[in-house]
Amino acid sequence: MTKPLSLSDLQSRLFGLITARDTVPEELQARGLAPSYVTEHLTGDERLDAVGRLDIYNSMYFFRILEDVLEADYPTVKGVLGEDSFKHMAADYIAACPPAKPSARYASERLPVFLKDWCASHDAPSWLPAVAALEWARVDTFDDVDDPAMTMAQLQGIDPGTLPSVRLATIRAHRTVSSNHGIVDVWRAVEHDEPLPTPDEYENTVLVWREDAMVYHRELTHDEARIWPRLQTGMTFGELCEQLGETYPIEEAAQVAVQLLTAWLADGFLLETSNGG
Amino acid sequence: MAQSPPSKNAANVPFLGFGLGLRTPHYAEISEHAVGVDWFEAISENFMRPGGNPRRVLREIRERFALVLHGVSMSIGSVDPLNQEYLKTLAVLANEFEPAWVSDHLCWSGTEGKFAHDLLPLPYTDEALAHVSARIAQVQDKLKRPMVIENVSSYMAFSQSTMTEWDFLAKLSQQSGCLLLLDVNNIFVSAHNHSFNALDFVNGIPLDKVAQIHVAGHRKRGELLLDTHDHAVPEGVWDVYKAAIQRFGPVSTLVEWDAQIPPLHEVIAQANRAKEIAESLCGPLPVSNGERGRHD
Repeated sequence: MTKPLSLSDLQSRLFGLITARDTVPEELQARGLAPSYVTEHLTGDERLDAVGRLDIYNSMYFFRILEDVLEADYPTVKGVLGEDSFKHMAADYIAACPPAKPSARYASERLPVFLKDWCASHDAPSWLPAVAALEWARVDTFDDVDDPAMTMAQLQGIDPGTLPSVRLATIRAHRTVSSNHGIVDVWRAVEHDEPLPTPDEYENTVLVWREDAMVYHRELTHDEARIWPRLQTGMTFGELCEQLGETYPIEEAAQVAVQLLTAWLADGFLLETSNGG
Repeated sequence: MAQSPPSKNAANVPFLGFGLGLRTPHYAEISEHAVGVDWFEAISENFMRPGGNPRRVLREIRERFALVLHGVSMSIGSVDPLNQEYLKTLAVLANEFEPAWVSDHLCWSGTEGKFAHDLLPLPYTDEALAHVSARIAQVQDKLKRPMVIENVSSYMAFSQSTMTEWDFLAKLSQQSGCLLLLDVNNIFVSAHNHSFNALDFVNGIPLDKVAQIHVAGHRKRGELLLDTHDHAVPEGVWDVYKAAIQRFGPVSTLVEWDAQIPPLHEVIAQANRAKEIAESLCGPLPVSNGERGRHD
């Protein structure tokens, strides 16, 4: 009679087969193992033997991560690669980056980084990792911390004399994605089921943010991209004018600052200010 | 024989009535309309992030209904150390929403720092019993509330098991102080897959340990059954449910429907079917929670 395995050894043995890229019979064969590696510890019957039963879990492992996580989180990446290539990529990803956190929500978080090497070796578009980063940013922003956003009404309630000292900062539920292609066009095409464009090549930063329950994204303007590092950590309206003054004549800088502030309030990603209002 | 509905059941926990698993496709309808449901069960992991629509919806639901938090990722049977970050987040969630109880599954989900995101069965041995009992004690200490543990569906069984699944659950509840979530669909599925009598399972569970019952649907795969939660509750599962209510009396009952999710009224019809069955066996079972009156 076979000696029972410790719980630790049993879990280690089964987990290796359940999460193998190939089916359990194929994995046993590839490792040069006899079916007894399984059947000594698991039981089967005339309906399905022990190896076949363990293989149910192997199959569910792959399809759960593919369908419930990767396809749900990365519809644009799937749209670019197509069904078969996406499935092949998913198998490579799951093998290279097996889930390492308890919640399945995080099983796809390493895909943007993984795709950098994968795309290079699979003749896939070089801009696909940035598309993936945009999609992950949308997933990650969806349920990030709730912060109160500054409103136009709040700003209008501020004494105009104190406007230069009003502190501007971003809500935490936002991310930025840098790219050297127009990835927003790719996302939009898949979202609207339109033909895939060849994205233009240019440096850009995409801002992703959540307003209430909705996640939005858009490219930052050149002015915003220059300002962004300071805006994230917090700056006053006066400092905003000063920084714009490095690009524009001072009277024009104030005008641009007001235009930016108006746009940001409409977008809803400025943090409610603590001074004034 | 008809009897007065107890405010607490044999397990000394509140009788919440007949509820539904909270699922995304139903958020809007539940938010905007009165729904004839006593309580909701939320998948803990879906609400562990700090903000956004999920937490907003859960706060709204909690204002109107009794709530239970049901986890799928604790991996209580794994030999890996319990994930302290996960437990800390769960404790924060439980403290904010004050669920009637917190549940998870008798299973392991991974090892060596990796996760299969599945509910993998354990061998029913003294070693596993001691291991899981000790871990439940740790969790209960961390959460400052008793755990409710659910039986899983399984497709594989272990040669080295020295007791039945129901004996294991009975001993586990005695040793650890946890209560049990009896999933009668999982009993039906596992009974078919491992050729045991589902009623032996029900009759092997202690009378005073069942806090909750799950009902759900399943699907055939070859000669076995898979726990898919993508169908209405089959008649065979309702038969096990009847046997459970006959044995345990009124127990808070919840319908799980996780794939190919139909309109809300179809899922509510399943909860109403459970209520009809329970009332046919126990007499009228009004509850004082949910939109029929807040529980607390």
